[in-house]
Amino acid sequence: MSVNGEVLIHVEDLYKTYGTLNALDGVTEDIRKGEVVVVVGPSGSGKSTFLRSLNLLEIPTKGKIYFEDVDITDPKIDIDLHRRKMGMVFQHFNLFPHKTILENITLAPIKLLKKSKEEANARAMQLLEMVGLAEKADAYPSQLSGGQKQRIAIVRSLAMEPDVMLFDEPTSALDPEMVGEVLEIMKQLAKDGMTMVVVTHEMGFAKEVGTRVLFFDEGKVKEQNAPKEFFENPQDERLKEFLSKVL
Amino acid sequence: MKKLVSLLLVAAMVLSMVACGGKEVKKITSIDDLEGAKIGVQLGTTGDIYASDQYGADNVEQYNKGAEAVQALKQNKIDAVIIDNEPAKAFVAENEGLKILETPYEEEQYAHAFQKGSKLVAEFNQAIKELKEDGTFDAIVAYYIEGKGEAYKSPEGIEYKDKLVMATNAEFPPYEYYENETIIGIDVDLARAIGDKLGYEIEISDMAFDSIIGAVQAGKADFAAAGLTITDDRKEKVDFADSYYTGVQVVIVNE
Amino acid sequence: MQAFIQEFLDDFQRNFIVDNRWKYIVDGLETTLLVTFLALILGVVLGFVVAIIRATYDKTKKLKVLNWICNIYITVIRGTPVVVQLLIIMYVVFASVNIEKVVVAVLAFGLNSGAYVAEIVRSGIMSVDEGQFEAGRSLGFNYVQTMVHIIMPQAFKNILPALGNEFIVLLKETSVAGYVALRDLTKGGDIIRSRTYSYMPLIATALIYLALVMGFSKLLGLLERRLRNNER
Repeated sequence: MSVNGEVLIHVEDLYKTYGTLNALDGVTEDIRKGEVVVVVGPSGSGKSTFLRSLNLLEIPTKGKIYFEDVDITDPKIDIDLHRRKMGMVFQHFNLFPHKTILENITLAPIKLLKKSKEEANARAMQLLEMVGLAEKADAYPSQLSGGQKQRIAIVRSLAMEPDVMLFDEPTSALDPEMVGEVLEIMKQLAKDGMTMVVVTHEMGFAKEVGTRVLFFDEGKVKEQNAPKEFFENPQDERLKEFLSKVL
Repeated sequence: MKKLVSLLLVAAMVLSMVACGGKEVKKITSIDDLEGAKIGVQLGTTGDIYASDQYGADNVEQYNKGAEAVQALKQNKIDAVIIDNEPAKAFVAENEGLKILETPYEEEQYAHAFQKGSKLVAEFNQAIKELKEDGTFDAIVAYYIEGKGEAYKSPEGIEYKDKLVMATNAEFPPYEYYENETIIGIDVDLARAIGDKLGYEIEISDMAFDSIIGAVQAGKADFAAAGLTITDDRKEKVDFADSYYTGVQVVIVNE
Repeated sequence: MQAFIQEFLDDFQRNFIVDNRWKYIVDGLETTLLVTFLALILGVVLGFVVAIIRATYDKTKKLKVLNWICNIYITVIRGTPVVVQLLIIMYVVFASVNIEKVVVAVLAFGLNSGAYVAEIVRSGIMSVDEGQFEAGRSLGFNYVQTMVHIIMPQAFKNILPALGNEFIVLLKETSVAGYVALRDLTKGGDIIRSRTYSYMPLIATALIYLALVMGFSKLLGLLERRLRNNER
């Protein structure tokens, strides 16, 4: 877990405005290779908007985002090419209900990376083994539990061999007994050196797996630190208040 | 998306070119030229029946209204229209560039139609006879065809004993047509004159021409007066009174 | 009873056998099916194109001018009766063109159906969860790929019943094709009726439409069930 790797994502003075509301109010941040950056903050703080801006699902009002040294906020670049290298996992899984688990995973590699069906299937089965769901390959999403769906969603992103994984509250929609199985996979990913940005309310995960924790409030990064310092010695008043509520 | 749109445009153009390449206009100068020509008629009229028999059903196009057949003729969609003489005159007067061929296509007898066994037949025959004798009928014809004199007016103070529903298709000038939102014409005035004689008030029911016989048969109308020609087929379905007028089927063509 | 049967047989003979009158029905049916089929294709293609333009505008605010044109198209078509549209295409649009009447009918019914199909498809697209769209885009699919591989298959399943209903309406609506003297099934029956003055052709015509619609509904039900099975 190298924290001093090269910069993978460079965010520069990012703003996002909805009418008069500033969801992002000038954020500048670097995500380095191998980092597991955990983003926390009260609801409406802008943490999800920040994450969704990183692959331009939200178009920033102002500011720049460099991903692997390319300015992806430049309208002239083909964002679709860069998104392939940024996996994203959603709160509500967003699996494709009309496709089997295997098809969910192989659709993008076959259509976008032009992998052969055999190659894509083999890789998908490998990933399914890893998350322990190989026997569900031919099932449809509606036949799976929430925890299983989220594990499949993670696998679907991994099948594109991304350089970074973005997690948008991946366990918030799960029944409590299913949270563990998803976090387990994420821990494994982190251990294998995947660069991750995770918006979550799971403080345990932040402490145990995170290399750095960002506290978002009112569209700004109010405080950030290594997990130990972040939780044991908070400086910002709002962060103290926030931690007292969630811990 | 652009590809799809341009593909559609091309398809539309090809389609319209194929469609335009269809057939050329046939010039009709006499009845003999009708062979192989596209002939427009009003569905179910004697013109339709005769022309379909004589020239083959595939050469006859049946429109719901005479006026639509004439419009198709004006746009060269068909080559000729066979229709009754009187409406033909009205159409030609209204539309420049049309003329009626001098030789008539067919002559026919117009009569009122009734439900089989109706006792009204005898009453109508008597009334028509009287109206022809006293000049009322001629006055009606003179008014509508030559524009002379006045339309028929019911005498003051008639007590009606009953009401009769008259089935007609008010798109057949000068026999029956709309003017100022009321239906007038030879058949209408004649029916009122007959009704006045017999003590019936006449109520007009306007319908598609090919529904008229059915309406009389089913008793939905008491009689039909619609420039209706006596034919053998129709005689099987309804009873006809004596003919009150000899109609002529003529051919309208482009000049 | 025997008299009634005899009368029925006589009537039948006169309406369908004499002069090969059944041919009016058969030829008319052929025309009706041809017009319905071609109009269906035109309507579906047009409907999908219009729906995608409108949905794209709704989602991204792009294609403003095209969206505007589509709105006018839908408003005009849905705001006027199909018979009037048919007559306008015949006597106004193609006033100076000698055009096959089948083409006129296909254009009129296809254009008409397209407007309804467009609204059905658009509602189908909008009914697919926004998250599906985001999932597709986040994997690197572009807008069109996301539509084709992810949104449309789901939308199609949602709208199949409404689409099937529209097809049934279309089949029945073609019965006004007789207004431009096209010999469809209804007109075929009317022509026989104008010769025999009998109710029988009307009943025959009605029964044929009914059989067509019932057969089509059955097919549609099968298709729907198959699509649904695919997911469970």
